[in-house]
Amino acid sequence: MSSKSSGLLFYIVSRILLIIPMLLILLTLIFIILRVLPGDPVYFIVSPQAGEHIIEQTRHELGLDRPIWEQYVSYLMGVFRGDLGKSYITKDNVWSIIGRHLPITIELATCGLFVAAFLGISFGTFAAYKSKSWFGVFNTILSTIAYTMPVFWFGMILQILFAIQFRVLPATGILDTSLSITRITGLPALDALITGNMRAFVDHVARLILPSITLGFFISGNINRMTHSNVLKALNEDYVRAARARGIKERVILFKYALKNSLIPVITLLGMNFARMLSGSVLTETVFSIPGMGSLLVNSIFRRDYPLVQGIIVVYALLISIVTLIIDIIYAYIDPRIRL
Amino acid sequence: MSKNVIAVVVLIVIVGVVIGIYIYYTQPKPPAVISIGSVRVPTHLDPVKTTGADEFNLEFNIYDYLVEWEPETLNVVPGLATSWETSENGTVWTFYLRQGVKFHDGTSFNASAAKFNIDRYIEKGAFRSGLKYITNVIVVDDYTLKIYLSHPHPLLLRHLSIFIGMVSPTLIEVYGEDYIDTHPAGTGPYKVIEYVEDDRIVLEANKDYWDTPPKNSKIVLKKYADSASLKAAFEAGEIDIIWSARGDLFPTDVEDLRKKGYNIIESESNMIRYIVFNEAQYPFNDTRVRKAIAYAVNRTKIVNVVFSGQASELYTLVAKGIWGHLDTFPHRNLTEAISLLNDAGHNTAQKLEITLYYSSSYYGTAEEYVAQVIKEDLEETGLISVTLQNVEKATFREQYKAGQYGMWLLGWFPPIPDPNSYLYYFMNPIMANAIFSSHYNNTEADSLLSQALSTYNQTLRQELYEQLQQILAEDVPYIPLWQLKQFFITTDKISGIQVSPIAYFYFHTIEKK
Amino acid sequence: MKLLDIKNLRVYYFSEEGVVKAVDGVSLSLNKGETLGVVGESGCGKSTLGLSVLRLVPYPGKMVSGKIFYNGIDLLSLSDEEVRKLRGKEIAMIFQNPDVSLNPIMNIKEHLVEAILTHEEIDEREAVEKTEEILGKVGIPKNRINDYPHQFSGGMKQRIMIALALLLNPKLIIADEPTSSLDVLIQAKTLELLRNLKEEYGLSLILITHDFGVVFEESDRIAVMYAGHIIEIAKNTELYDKPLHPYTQALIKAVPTVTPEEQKLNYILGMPPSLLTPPKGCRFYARCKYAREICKFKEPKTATVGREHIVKCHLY
Ligand SMILES: Nc1ncnc2c1ncn2[C@@H]1O[C@H](COP(=O)(O)OP(=O)(O)OP(=O)(O)O)[C@@H](O)[C@H]1O
Ligand SMILES: [Mg+2]
Repeated sequence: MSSKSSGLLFYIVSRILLIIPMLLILLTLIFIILRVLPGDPVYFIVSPQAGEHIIEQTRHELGLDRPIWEQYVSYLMGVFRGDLGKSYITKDNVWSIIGRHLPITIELATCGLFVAAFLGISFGTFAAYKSKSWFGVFNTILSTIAYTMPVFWFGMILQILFAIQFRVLPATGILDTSLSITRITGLPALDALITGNMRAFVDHVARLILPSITLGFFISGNINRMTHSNVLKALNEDYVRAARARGIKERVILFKYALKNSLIPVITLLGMNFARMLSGSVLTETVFSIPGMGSLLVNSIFRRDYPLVQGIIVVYALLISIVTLIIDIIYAYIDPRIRL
Repeated sequence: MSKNVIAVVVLIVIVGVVIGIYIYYTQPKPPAVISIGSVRVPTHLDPVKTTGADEFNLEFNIYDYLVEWEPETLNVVPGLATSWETSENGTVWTFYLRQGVKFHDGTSFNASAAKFNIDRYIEKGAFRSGLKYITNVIVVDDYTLKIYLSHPHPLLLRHLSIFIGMVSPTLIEVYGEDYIDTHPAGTGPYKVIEYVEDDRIVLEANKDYWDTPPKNSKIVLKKYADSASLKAAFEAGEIDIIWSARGDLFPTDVEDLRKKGYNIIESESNMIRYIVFNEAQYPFNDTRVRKAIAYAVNRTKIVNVVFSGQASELYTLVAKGIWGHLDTFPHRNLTEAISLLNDAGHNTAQKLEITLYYSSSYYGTAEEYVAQVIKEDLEETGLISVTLQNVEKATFREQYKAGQYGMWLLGWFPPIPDPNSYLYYFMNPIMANAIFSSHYNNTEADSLLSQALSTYNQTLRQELYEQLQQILAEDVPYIPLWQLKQFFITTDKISGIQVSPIAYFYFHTIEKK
Repeated sequence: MKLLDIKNLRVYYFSEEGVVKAVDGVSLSLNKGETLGVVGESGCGKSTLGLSVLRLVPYPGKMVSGKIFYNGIDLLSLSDEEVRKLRGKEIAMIFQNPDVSLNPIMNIKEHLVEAILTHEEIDEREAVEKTEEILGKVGIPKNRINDYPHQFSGGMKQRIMIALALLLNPKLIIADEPTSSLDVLIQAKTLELLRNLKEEYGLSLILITHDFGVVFEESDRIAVMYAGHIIEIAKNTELYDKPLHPYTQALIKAVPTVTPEEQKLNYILGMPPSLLTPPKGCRFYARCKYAREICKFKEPKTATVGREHIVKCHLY
């Protein structure tokens, strides 16, 4: 037992240490790509009417007139001091900009994950249980659609149906324009609850529904398939047959025997899908005009806001490393056969 | 045991939801808010940094200026200065300031506050190079300000009314320059109470406004990613007004909303679209070729086919709605175009091969259709073959500035409603080169421009600008094509939208039932 | 009345390659308190026969025809729910591979308590008591009740499976090769445990195995299966002394003698026929020393020779 936990500690520490070179390589790549990418950020800061002198002056203020390697070194120095720089456009600190957008994406991603887990697991399980009926075929089609469909398109369909045709749910944004939430933790839902702003809370939650379904459905495809095949496999296990022979009810067999045993790999899959979810959230946020990390990234790429793009990528990379690390650790604790 | 826990949790959730719904329905409704959706919101609110129309527009709603202008007529009217007078030779202006005006942060507005802002702009302002004629600003007393000019300049009042929004000096002293990017304090009809970048800006009516206070209590300016989500939000009832200032909404979306019975207010916007030639490049160094192209383009087709009539044909570079506007460019005439091309030595055997550059990621998808229409129109002469080249937004500006293109599609929407804003940058050789790399150089035109900028005589200025527009049609360094319209699409509840031909939007007159 | 009476049962697997006639017209009966050994080569349909009784034949298997009476009840006419209530409670089954027969994420207590609470309306505490008692009987100490399957050895797991089977005092246990995955020593112990408990609980037992040694050791009566048919049924001693069917005779010869040094196996040459396309005549025809012309074309009828000695061969 103790050898296991010390091994685990070693594993965690080495994984964390590995993040540093990974970040360094990533940052260098992003730095180069952004500069190789055509388009001068100055043209996005200064309007076309502004004269050449303004452009030159802005370029100087941003340090864009310095040699690339000098910009690179000073940027890296900043990063290791924990300073991601300032946005070219808003001049605001990149950390604080991210701090305002990240919680929203975290909220969306969490809800999306729940929807994905719910949809994927319930449909996958039921389809495995009824694999020989029409539902099995239907579910195969459904999960394939979920896996391959354009998020954009699906989000818009939902929007048109539920927000415009039937008007049962809001179409865009995270809060009605007449409401506001006092910022405490940055997570709008939590802040609304803390401040007792029920109206804002209800409105906010209602606004999360369609985006969460969009994102959740997108990710559910994978989970659905995996659950389906795992449950199918589990239902053929000898212990399921033995349980049936004891007269255990089918419902119990399905959930306690087949599903529960299938879930461990599904949980890992959720972790592995984290990156996919981030990319899905970019599109979802665009469709639903949600001011999260995704739309921030899109906007800052469009505007060639180098420090902000770099900052977002750093945060994404950190998030993905942390999440996969956590999943690995959880997995190690759940499954005693894994020795780290 | 675990079943009990679940039961308790379920109970708590149910009770919570019931209480939540109860509170939700019993809490007082927030005051009526008017939400305005757009695909653009300002990225900062500091007047000295402002170069773009989105920022200018919002600043008009939160700041006051020494002089202001009436939205419909664009006439100059008193603002924070109640009256003003000019010295005999036109180089000293005296402004008498309004008394008892306070900034949103409580600071009093007076002559030194005004001087502070003018000086600040001259030192740091984005368009400060255009304000070099201001040599000195002197506080005579608390409410009198003198501005000294190096020479008479007809745009002084315009500049004061658009560039120099009055920001609370204390705010800058206490919190520093960057603070006002997102937490401005002016004296204007609205205060900014919430600023969420890339999402929304919430304005609250300034109850102590010195002029008639706004007819609404709260305005939310909401940003949408694109035309589709803007339209969706509007149709879902989340916003009251769509403001499409410069073709932000697809023409088909506007038509669709019109069909669905929403109110649509349309007017000219100040944005003009045109072709630029690089006169240093063959074959555009030949005036006959440029002229032939000017005869060959079919503006009617662009306006009707591409924009379903949601734009106006444009025959000069000065936008409609701006004084001095005079149509000087010829209407379509293929015979004329063909004979000019023949003159220039082009025939069916040896077709003129040209490339038209454009950027649909910069100006929207409609751009592709425009380019297609232009190609068809030019090729109808039988003497030209056009290659179309769509360039990514990020590189477009870089490349035309570097002189890489010979002919390309561009747009212009100057902040100052004066013919000078449309002609100076295109016809002054230095500007024309710096901004467009058009290599246009007409010394006569340049001297006319300077003349028009050093007199207060309106009739003379008008004559000069008309003359300049004639010269443009002769030289054809650019071909004006169309002018965009702006659209306000509203629900039935909204009234009182005041439309300005230069696509600025004052919020204080809007009312919501 | 017979406890179990199987009449002309046919169970086919409708697999992609074709119809596998795994059980093809089997009739069999079991008296109360009796141990019936079912013996045969691998793949002859023993497990399928056992699973049929609990109506657990897996997809794509189907019971095509025949009847199974348990205590006079026609099992095939019951609803799924009614059958489920019989399983474990009236008829229990023990499977071949204890290593994979327990749910890896449930501990032992959960397995047993769950089974009890499925069939009996008692409270959880009583169920736990009952669990501890039965585990004691199969020799699993109380303090291991919260351990998970992977913490037990194969033999222990099979004893747990036995406990699970006995838990609700069923009248019939079908043990499908309960010991073949265990090593020889444990095998003997497990069989002994099963035998003792059978006596104690007054059970009837169907012991499915391919091991003639075991079957002679444990059973009162023996049914010999070959390629989906029962080819001979007789009392233990009768079969041992007087095997009628050539296949049985060959099998008995093939049983290894007890001392390892003398181990000499008499293999039967050839392979059993494919159940996809079983031969028209006698299924043992191809391997039979006494095969005649008729054996090739005509399926032999079952003949009763002497008291309760049934054989399916043209010789009789
Ligand atoms: N799911 C299935 N699909 C198709 N064929 C099957 C299936 N299960 C069993 N069979 C076939 O049915 C026949 C009988 O199988 P069964 O498992 O009953 O034999 P067995 O006598 O128990 O063999 P063993 O001694 O190996 O356990 C075999 O030929 C087998 O291949
Ligand atoms: Mg078997």
